[in-house]
Amino acid sequence: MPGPKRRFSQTRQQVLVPSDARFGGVEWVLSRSLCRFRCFDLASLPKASRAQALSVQIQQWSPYPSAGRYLAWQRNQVLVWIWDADAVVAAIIAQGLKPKRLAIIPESLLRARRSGETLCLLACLEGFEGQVWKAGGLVHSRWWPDVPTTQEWLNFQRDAGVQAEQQRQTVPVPEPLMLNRTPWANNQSNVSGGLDAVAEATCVGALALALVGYVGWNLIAGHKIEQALVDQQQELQKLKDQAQPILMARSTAIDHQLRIRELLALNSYPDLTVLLAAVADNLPAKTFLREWDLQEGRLRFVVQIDNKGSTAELVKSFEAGPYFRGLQAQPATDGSTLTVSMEVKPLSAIDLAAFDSDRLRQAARQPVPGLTLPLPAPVAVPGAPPAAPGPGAPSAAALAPGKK
Amino acid sequence: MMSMVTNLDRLHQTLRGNLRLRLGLWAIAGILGFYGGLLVQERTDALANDYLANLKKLDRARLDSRESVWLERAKEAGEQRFKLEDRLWQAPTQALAQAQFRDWVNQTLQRAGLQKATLTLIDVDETKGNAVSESNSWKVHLKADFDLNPKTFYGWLGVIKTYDRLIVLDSAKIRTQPSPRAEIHLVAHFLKARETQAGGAPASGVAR
Repeated sequence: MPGPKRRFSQTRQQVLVPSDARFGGVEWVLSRSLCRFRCFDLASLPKASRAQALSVQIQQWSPYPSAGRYLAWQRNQVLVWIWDADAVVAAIIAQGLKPKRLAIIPESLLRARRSGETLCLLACLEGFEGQVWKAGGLVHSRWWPDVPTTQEWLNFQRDAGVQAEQQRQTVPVPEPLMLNRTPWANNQSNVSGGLDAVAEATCVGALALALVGYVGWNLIAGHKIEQALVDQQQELQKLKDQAQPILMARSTAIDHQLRIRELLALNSYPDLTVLLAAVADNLPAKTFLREWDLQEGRLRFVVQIDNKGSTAELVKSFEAGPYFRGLQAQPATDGSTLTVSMEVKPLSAIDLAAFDSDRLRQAARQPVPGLTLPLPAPVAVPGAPPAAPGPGAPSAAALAPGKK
Repeated sequence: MMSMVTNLDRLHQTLRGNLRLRLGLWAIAGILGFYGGLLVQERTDALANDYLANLKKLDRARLDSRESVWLERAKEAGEQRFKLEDRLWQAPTQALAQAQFRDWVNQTLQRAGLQKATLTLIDVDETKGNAVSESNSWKVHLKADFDLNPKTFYGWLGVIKTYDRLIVLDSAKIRTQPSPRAEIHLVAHFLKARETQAGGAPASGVAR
């Protein structure tokens, strides 16, 4: 249901301005006297080239330097109304209207549509129009300033190709002027090759809308993310400020830890007294050390033994202890001595808790005088006098320099 | 001006009558628009990636701000570190460090009653082992050679073990034949002190 429209009507002498409606769309009705009409038959042309061919034909037919046009397609034919566009645009502008914002409709399209084969004479805004309809389609039209004479009427019928027996000899009474609200055919002047102008506009509009939506959505999303990023940066800065002392403390703690590792690594092997105690712990009775060589984590010692069958047990007991690994024992050919080589485990690899030896733990913690080691006098040196007892065994505190 | 208007009008008429031309132009416009859209989307994606990356940073910063335990850890580690560094010797120069250490070892050997003791300083560059990472630090390597008397030897070892400065027994060679003799390599780690302190004062006395 179309809304109310303001309908201006233009004739050769004047423009009829609507007085009742001030709102709604604007239509510009051209009187038949300002238009030229022709029906083009394009049946012989392929659809793809019809539009171009029609355009050429219209240009050849048009007497106007700039022609406005109204095209109505009906199957393989196209009905064309043309007019002097410059004059019409000037008249529209003179009424304070914008030519591009209104629809220009020849008045013939606002008359009643006929069905079947019809010959009629219509009173127009100005003058009279004769129309010939065949099979429900307009095929011929002509305008006269006055009611045509009989001869003119017959000529019109002959021009329209009306058979002689069907021609009417008398001029009919003109039908009174009565314009419909809508034209009986839409203007398809933008259409070519069968593609509907509305469809084209719809497709292009839909794609443009989709594109605008896509771009717009991304722009809005980007804007929102930018805002969120700003908030995020502020919060991040705040948290960084809060965490700064903690991060510094972490960095300091890690530095301290690295330094502690370095300092602990300065003394990476068990103390000599601990190793002596551990060896003594595993040696059988009546066994004395003859040599001891400890260097860079490798220990080699020679013991004088009187128990010839204890080598395997000796190796087993050393390997079971916490301090040594990679043990090799080599008895002398005469069986009087045993040379033992082994690797000393670094402190980081020793787990004293796994060994139930109070003596070892004590030696590890407090390896000071009092331990009975395989060296204490008298050291068994065959052929040598017993070692002098020396000045005794002073305590560590008594021996420390500066402490009297 | 008129020719331009005429040309525009001609172009308009051409466009109205040429579907392929119009479709081509629409396609070009569509491709350009789509390309513009892709650029906008690329920017949006980059912003979204930044947002996600910042989100991780935020989570990390939140975690960091809650880990106040590091304050305590740093304090404890610092105490432990300084306690260990207190055990290092101190001397203003390398020569003085060697002299200090030699004097100290000699004194302990005499007090322990170890006979026929000889002390040899080994050049620092020739020694091996872990070095303190600080630039102003070095280690003094000393070889002590003496007659072995087990009782006094253990007493001397106890002095070394319990002394409040760190002395590392790097190697030990002991033999009981033909006469009991021991060769002990001792290493002392020194920090450079700003002023001379007798006996190698603890590091805490100078470097704090």
